[in-house]
Amino acid sequence: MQNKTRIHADPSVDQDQFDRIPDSLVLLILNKIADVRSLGRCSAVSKRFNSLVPGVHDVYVKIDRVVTVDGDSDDALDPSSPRPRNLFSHFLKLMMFTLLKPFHHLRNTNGGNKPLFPQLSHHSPAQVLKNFTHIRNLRIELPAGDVGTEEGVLLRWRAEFGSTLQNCMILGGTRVDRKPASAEQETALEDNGSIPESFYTNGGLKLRVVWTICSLIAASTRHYLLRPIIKDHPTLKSLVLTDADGQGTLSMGVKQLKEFREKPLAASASSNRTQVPASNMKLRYAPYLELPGGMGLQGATLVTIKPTSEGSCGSSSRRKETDAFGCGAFDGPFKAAAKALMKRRTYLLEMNGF
Amino acid sequence: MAEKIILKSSDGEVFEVEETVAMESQTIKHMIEDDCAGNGIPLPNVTSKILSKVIEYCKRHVEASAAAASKYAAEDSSSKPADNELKAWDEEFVRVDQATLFDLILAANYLNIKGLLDLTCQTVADMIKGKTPEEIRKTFNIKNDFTPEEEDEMKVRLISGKSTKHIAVVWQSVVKATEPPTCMRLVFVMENGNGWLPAVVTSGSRASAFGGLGEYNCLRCCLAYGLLR
Repeated sequence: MQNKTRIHADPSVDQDQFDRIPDSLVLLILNKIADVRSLGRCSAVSKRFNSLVPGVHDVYVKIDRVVTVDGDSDDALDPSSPRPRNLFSHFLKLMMFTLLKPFHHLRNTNGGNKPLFPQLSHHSPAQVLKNFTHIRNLRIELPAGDVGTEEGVLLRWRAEFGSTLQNCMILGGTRVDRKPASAEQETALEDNGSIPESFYTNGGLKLRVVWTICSLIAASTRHYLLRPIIKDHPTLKSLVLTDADGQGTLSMGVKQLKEFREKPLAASASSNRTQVPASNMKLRYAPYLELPGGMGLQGATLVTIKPTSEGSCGSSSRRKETDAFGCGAFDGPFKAAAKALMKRRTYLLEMNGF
Repeated sequence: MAEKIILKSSDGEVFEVEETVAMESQTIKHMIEDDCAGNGIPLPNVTSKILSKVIEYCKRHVEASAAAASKYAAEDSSSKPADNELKAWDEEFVRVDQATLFDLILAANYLNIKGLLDLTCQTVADMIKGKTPEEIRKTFNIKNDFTPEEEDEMKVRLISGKSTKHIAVVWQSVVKATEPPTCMRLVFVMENGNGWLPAVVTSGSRASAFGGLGEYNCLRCCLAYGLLR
């Protein structure tokens, strides 16, 4: 072998190092790879890898394109219309993603290097995951957040679902930027702890309600899309669905997955998402919040949503649970924001199911 | 006065390490707790070369934990630079040849040192990510033990989701050697459980395909099956 450029090349050792390690360690390595595409390629490397890949516990699926499918799967080839980002967009029946040419060396030798046809193949996550029989921890990442927002607006939601919504926390702000000049700061500070009248009249409340509804629609749609995956993988212990923008995170743990399997899922009227139950919303607002890292958040809002049927939300244990959820829900500077907002006055709102 | 533990490598070398460092290994920790460490701990599976590296790793990480603990006590949130430093040290630590890397994996497994095992396995995982099967084989000298038929099977399954048992392609066409094919007729025959379902596909006119695979996937299956060049 005359290979000149090889990573960790050691000409004296042409041995397959994997021969030296037992299957359990190969499995450990495969679990660290996690990415489903790479694992697919691993299963084509050798028979040993092929037999071990289905046993991987930790899988990460990165979806790089979301395609609308209206029946005929043949049309899935066409890069469809740009992903809809309007508020009440039609959500998608099937999520597809592009699997990078697994065998890109298959080319049409007729026309030089021009491939015969685009080497893309679209598979749904459920399809691709069929190969794995022992998944315990599944992470799926969508290419972008579902809720379109204006420039500078901050919107983050975290939701926990069992067979239905259990907990949702939404952090929003009308503007995130470097700490503004002190002049602006003064006008923003009519802060006596309660929500100013202007919040209700200048559309502030309406905006928050829109954020809340959109986030809940996004969360419940994602939840509904996970049905086939949860059904196919009874070994699942944790399931997290995020997006590359970091906007929304849907998570389901062991208890919640169990509940999902035991209780039937209620689909909403439009039947492309789970029914959001009647809920209590707690809204907390600060006209301006300083964030660590020299940033400022205007119109900071924290909305905590809990289904009404979960019992009185006045009980202290529930409150502690929600607080714990809140503190862990967001990362980085937004963690501090959520924490600060949790201390503020709470406004209660009630919401019907939809 | 810090306790010292004696470790003996497979090739007879003796290493004296502090107890805290040795206890990074759960295996050694249990031996110490079970009072078997008296005359030194023999490690027949680990050579001196690898053992010295493992000790180096454990030392560095014990130092880092101690530093972090004192910082935590002082509510100092500036542990980020120290974390990055440790990360950089770890990256440099695993910059070794493959044989050594796998030696470290085996040693970390045998000695039950979670951090080292995670680090070394992650390194190998990163070497695998993003590579094609052939590249992976080249990097690690893995033998391709699939037969050509098995490889075809995998390709077709990967592309079409169906196995070759379900698809038989009868190739009837004329393909010009120098131009992209503009006129092709494939007679594509698929098994549908009850027998064979004929499917005729003509490119260029997007004619119908019976049997539901569709033109695009038919062509792909042909390619995978090695019938198109």
